[in-house]
Order: sequence, then C-alpha cells, then structure tokens
Amino acid sequence: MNKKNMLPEGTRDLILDECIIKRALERDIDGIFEKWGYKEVITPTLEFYETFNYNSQTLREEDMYKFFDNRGRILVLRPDMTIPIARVVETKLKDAEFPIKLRYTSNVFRVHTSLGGKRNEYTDCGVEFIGLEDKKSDLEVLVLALEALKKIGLNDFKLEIGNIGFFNGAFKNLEIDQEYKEVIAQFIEDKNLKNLEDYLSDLNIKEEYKKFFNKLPWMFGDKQILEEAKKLAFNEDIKENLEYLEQLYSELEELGYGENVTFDLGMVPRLNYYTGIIFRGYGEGVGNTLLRGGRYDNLIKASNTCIPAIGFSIDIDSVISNVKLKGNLNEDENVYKIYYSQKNRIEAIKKSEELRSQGYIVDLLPKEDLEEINIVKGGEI
Amino acid sequence: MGISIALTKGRLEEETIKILDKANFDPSELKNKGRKLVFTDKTQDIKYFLVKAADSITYVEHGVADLGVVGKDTILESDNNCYEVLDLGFGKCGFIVASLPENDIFKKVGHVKIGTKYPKVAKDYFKKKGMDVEVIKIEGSVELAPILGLCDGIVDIMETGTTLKENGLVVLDRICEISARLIVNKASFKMKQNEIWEFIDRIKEVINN
Repeated sequence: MNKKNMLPEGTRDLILDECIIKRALERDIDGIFEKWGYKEVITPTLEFYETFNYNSQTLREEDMYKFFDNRGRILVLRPDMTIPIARVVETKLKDAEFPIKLRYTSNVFRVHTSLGGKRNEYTDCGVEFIGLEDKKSDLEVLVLALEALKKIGLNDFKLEIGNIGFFNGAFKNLEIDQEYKEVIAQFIEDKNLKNLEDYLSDLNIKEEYKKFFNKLPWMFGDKQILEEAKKLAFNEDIKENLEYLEQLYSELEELGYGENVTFDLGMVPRLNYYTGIIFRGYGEGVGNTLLRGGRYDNLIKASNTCIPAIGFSIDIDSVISNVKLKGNLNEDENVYKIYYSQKNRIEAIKKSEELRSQGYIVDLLPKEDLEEINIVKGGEI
Repeated sequence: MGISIALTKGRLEEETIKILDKANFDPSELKNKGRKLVFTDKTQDIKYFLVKAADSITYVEHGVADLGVVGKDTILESDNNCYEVLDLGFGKCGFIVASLPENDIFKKVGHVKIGTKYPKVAKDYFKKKGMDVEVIKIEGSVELAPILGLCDGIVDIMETGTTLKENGLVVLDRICEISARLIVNKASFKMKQNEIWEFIDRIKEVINN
C-alpha cells in the first residue's frame, strides 16, 4: 500500500446526504438566478496570477494557490469569480449590448491559516449585473439575494445593507491622506472601538468628524438606525446616501422583505473596490457570513470607460450542515430495486429500463438463485 | 435565543468573573468549577466555557461561541476575523522590545535575531520599523535566550518589569499596550443582536464606573 489516503488541508470529500443537500441547494439557487434571466458563465479553474493582481486587490499573495505553467508564468487557482467574469466581459463581451446579467456556480480556492478549520475550496453561487448604475439595478439584485437566502430554508435570515457612500461622504471636505482613511475604515469595519478611538484622538481633524467616526461602528440594526444616522449626517453627501438606503428599504418593505432587511452603516470593507451599496447575508445557526455582495463601478473597463456593476455570491458549503434533508419520502416513492439472478438478468434489465422511462430510479441488484426477478418499491427491504 | 461565551482561563479568569458578578450575571458555577467545562448562568440563557486564550478566538471565529474574553496580546498574534468591541480594562500589560544593555539591537550592525513567543507581533513591529530581522519562536522564559546568546533581543509581554531587570535586560521600546478585550462573532452580532447588545451594555456599565 503506497497510496496516500489523505487530503490536502482545507479540502474535503462530500458523500451521501451532504452531497444531496449541496446539489439541491445549488440547483435551487441557480434556478432562481436562471428564472430572473441571468445567463450562466463557466470560466477556467486556472488563471494567471496577474489577472488577480490588480490595484484594488485585498487578497494577499499568500492567500492564493500558485504554481507555474510550462513557461514559468505564475498561475493561480481562482480565489473568486468576480474577477474572471470582469475579464470575460472586458474581452469577450465588450461589444455586447449592456446590461448583461451573468450567473455562476463554481468552486473557488483560498489558502487559509493552517489548522484553523476553514475550507480552502468552496462553492460560490452568484450573479453579476453589469452595465447599469445603482438606481437601475441595486433593487433587483437585493431582491434576488433575499430570494436566494429564503430558498436555503433556514429558520431565520437577515440581509444587511450598508452604503460605502455614507463613510466616503464624510471625507468630502476633509483633507486627509488615503492611508489614514484606510486605517479608520479598517477599525470601523472590525468594530474595534478602542483602537479607533485612540487613533482618532491623535489625528488632527475636527471634533465633529471624530464623533461621527466613533459612532459609525455602532450604527447597525433595523430601519430605525437610519433615523438615528440622520442626526449624525453633517453634509449633503452623507444625507443623500442615507436617503437612498431609506428608499431601498421602503421598496423592499413594499415587496414583503421588511422583516429580513437590516442595516450596518459601519460596513466599510475594501475601500477602493466597492463604490455603492454593500450587503451581507446571515442565517440562524450559521457562524459565518454566507452571502457577500456590493456595487463595484470601477472594476470593469471597456473602451477606456468604467462599466458599473453589482453582484453577490453565496457560500453554499457554509450552510450544508444547517440544512436538513427533506425526508426520505421522495426517495421511497421514486425508487425501485430489482433483484435478479444470472438466468433472468436480461429480463431484469428490460424491466428496469421500462420503469426508468416512467421516471423512476431503478437499482439493479444481483442475487443468488432467484427463480424470478423480484421488484421492490421503495428504499430498503 | 441564548448566547455562549468563551472565557480565557488563567490570568484573566478571576477578573472576568468579578465583572460578570457586578453586571448581575450569574457566574456562580464558574467559581466552583470542579472538573466541569461548560457552565450555565442560572439567571438567563447564557453558557460560559473556559478555554485557552488562543482557543477563545478560534471558538468565536467559528461562531461556536458568540462572544469571547481574550487578551489583546493573543488577538494581535492571531489572524482573526471577529469584532473587537470592548476594552475590559483589566489584565493590563504591554509588549516591549528588550536586550542586554551592551547589545542594543537598534544600533547593531548586521544580522539581528529576535526571540519571542509572539512571532507575528515581532514581525509586524520590525516591518513597521523598516528593519529586517530573523524571528525565532521560543515557548517560554524568553528572557533566557539573549543571555545564552540564542538571539540579540526579545519581544515579550511586560507587566512589572521585574523579571527583565533580574536578568539584566533593558527595555528598548514599548510596542503597544495590552488588556483584556471582548470579541464578538460577526454573524452572531447580527443574528442575536438584542441579546448581545444587552450583554455588552451591562458589561460596559460596570467598566465605566
């Protein structure tokens, strides 16, 4: 036995129920995207490292699986799907008519810290709506995210919406280095109050700003938080961004999603990537963020202009253990087992094909000394 | 919905229990713990468990615990993805750089070796300083390493400074201050918002007084 019966860290086999659940989730969610008119895209698992090494990139080099091709160029296992889709749009769809709505279900790869218990390969199921600005596509994508979350079937779920414009708006008349801005954003994003306070107190900016930034990490919750945020809004930009969220909320409420929508104005990840609303999905009993998305109007460029876009993806693997298999009912009613022996195997195969053509699943099982084939409905005997 | 809290055992344990007591939670089971590992609050739907510092972060990051009490030293050394919402104000100490007085690492010409229990903290610090040093991981009694010549300097936690002094080491720089922090799982904070808010508010009230 020289076989190495082991898996690389962060990967796993899925068998039986896990597999059934995962495929069902993929089918259900992908099915919703399809019904909304999103076209599927399949891109290679391998890409050039260069493709992922763009300037608003926040993934570190060591977070990607890398190797060389036969000419010594660096390849990566794709760490996300948005960049490959941006690449496809910029090259193959640049002359297509916008907007373009695309969907995907693909495995992505990240190298996580060793022994941390995280998956390094997981399936992302997502969409990108490309070619229209915020007011013309945000609502649709939010509804789609809510529908996808609902479809997973958890007891409770929340879609939390933020707006990077709320944070950025505060910098409108503030002369400050990008570097400082990024540090402030990071502390707010991590809700790291102590560090934020210490950092701001050393900074030479007006008290008004300090107060605003110190409050931001706590500005999350249901729609009332938007009312509270109004009191903080000290310029038109911030107000406008707030009003936009209010408008989205009232529309989502009208569509019946009010219960599942919350806000976090202190959600400020990846400053030079996101340009508008940002949103995340959480589910009861799921310890991590299961849906991530947002507007990124500066990423895709065709004929020297930026093409606005918004998208999100769902981490299917993170919910598998929270979803229950919907009974064995289906299985029993759709499954036949046919036991047969050497002498009647032709008959058995013919019979099985007949049942399959009627839509049943038929499992053929050889057995010793059976005078006649034995057809059993349901799972076990 | 109930919440669960991963507390760090050892150095921070006693103070944590005191604060819980003052905030009118019920840490009675934690006081007489015996061999138990999971403790229930009899007054409300809270579960406590005692784990090693670094594990507290791991439990919270995976959402197995909603909240955790852990030292900033452990947080800095980990690569975690949790909210760090409160400075609990106890367990105070600092990260320092020290060496023997005759071997000031900031003046040394050539290759510098740093011994530490906290390689990430040490690397981040010297990177910020623009210094390229070799970091050697040591599990305990870090003060010994420069004396025996394993390394030129150390990065370690200092509470009073007595151990350093007794071993003839001098502090060259103070990297940052450390104290116990309350961390929260990102998804829990959103799914169990009311319960976690209430917990934070009550703890906050105690530390602010």
